[in-house]
Amino acid sequence: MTKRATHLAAASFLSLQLCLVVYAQFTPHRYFCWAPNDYANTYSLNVKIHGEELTADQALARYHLQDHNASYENPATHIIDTVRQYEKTYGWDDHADVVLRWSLNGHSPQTWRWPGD
Amino acid sequence: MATLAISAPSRLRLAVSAPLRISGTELPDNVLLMAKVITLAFITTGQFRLLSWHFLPFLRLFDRLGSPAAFHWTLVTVFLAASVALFYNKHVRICCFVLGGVILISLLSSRAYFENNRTYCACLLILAGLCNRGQSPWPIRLQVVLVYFGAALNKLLQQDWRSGQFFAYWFGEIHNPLMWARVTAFIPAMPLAQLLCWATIVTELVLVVGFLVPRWYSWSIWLGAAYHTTLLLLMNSTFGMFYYAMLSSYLAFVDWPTLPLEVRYDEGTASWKKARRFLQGLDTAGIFEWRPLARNEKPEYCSGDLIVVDRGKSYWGFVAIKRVLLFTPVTYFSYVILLGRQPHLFQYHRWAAAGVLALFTPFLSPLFGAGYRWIRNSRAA
Repeated sequence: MTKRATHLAAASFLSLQLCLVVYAQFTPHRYFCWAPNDYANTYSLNVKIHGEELTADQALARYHLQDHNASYENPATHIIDTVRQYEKTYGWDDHADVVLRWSLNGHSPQTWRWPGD
Repeated sequence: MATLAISAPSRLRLAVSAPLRISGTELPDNVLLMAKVITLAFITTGQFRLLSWHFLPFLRLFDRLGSPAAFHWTLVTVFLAASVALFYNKHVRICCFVLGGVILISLLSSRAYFENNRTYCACLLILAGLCNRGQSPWPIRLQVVLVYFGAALNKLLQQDWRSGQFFAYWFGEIHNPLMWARVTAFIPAMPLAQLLCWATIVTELVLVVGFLVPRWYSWSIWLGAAYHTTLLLLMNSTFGMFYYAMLSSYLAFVDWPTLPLEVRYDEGTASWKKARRFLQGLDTAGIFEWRPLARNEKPEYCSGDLIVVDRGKSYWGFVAIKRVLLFTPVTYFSYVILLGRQPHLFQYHRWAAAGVLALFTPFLSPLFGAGYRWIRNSRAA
């Protein structure tokens, strides 16, 4: 690669990141936009498959999520995205009922349900 | 025909010293050192074992790339192979691309794998591959600025950060309620939390400006190191790769010497012999040119000290030793291994980090200098 090409590639790569940083402020998501550990969410997941309730550990393992005793330091929308994508793809045949309850930075709890929301 | 036979000890020495060498490649020395430090940290902390098993990818095409296990082990194998090539200085730019690319693919192929600290490593390695020898590593410098800018902006725009609610909950209720209760018995909780949130935002904004102005680079490096070490001390966590990656990216702001630095020493000073031999042993990369002082050129002001001559400027005593350590790659590698491989039962990493920060803190230099002189004089006596 010529020096000009490497400079152009580096400038484009950095410009893309800058666009993502600004764009993220207009959305509830914080992917690839340098917002590290800026949120403190505590949450619980209730998952029912064919009417049978999974344990807390099974529910977390289903979506490869972290232990809920520690705080989740991305926005809760990331958990919602994860659950929604899983239930639409790998788990569509399970017809799962999911209830996510979370509290952001100690505020009053909020709830999100799948299917539905 | 002449045979170029290399003896076994020489071959061994070459195999050991080659990974420590950072000069003579297509990358600037400090950029190559940064890439090696990040790669080593990724390996020693076991991050490479966590590379993605493609699960709920950001891009759906990863779901069609065979079994998750085969995908994962391919990434691990490619990562390790590129690491070996990077450490042996083979096609270093391609290696940086590959290493950064593997982490980026891992990130894009799994929502569960996504973390900002890993993203930062990927960006640094990819941008390292786009740097050219003989030119300033501006892509990495701007990457550092961009990270602090994004982090400060996101905090600034959140009410919970401006009010201190974030810290009061995150630290005071989740991570360290006991310590928070003790401290807030004397200091009102919310004003303290607000002060700490604003201190974080202001520090990140100062780092944005500091890393944009060349004459403020050295102070910004110290401020950034102090900031991340404080987080490590307070939280007993390196936040994945953040501590390692942020601090090693500061190497891009260091005016790395292009010619070997001259180190002069007094051969007659017995107390120095062991220490000098030790420092000389660390310099397997040939960063320094070790030369004894002639009898007629021993300066009175630094009798018995090491003298480092760096681009016409002389340093001696404790400052000279710090300079030798700072420009020796093995110092960085040893530090990463020391922190990355700490045993679970004896977690010393935050105290080691605090000690190293204190050692390299400019305003503590007189204190350490006095200690150094005391040791030197008592040994000489």
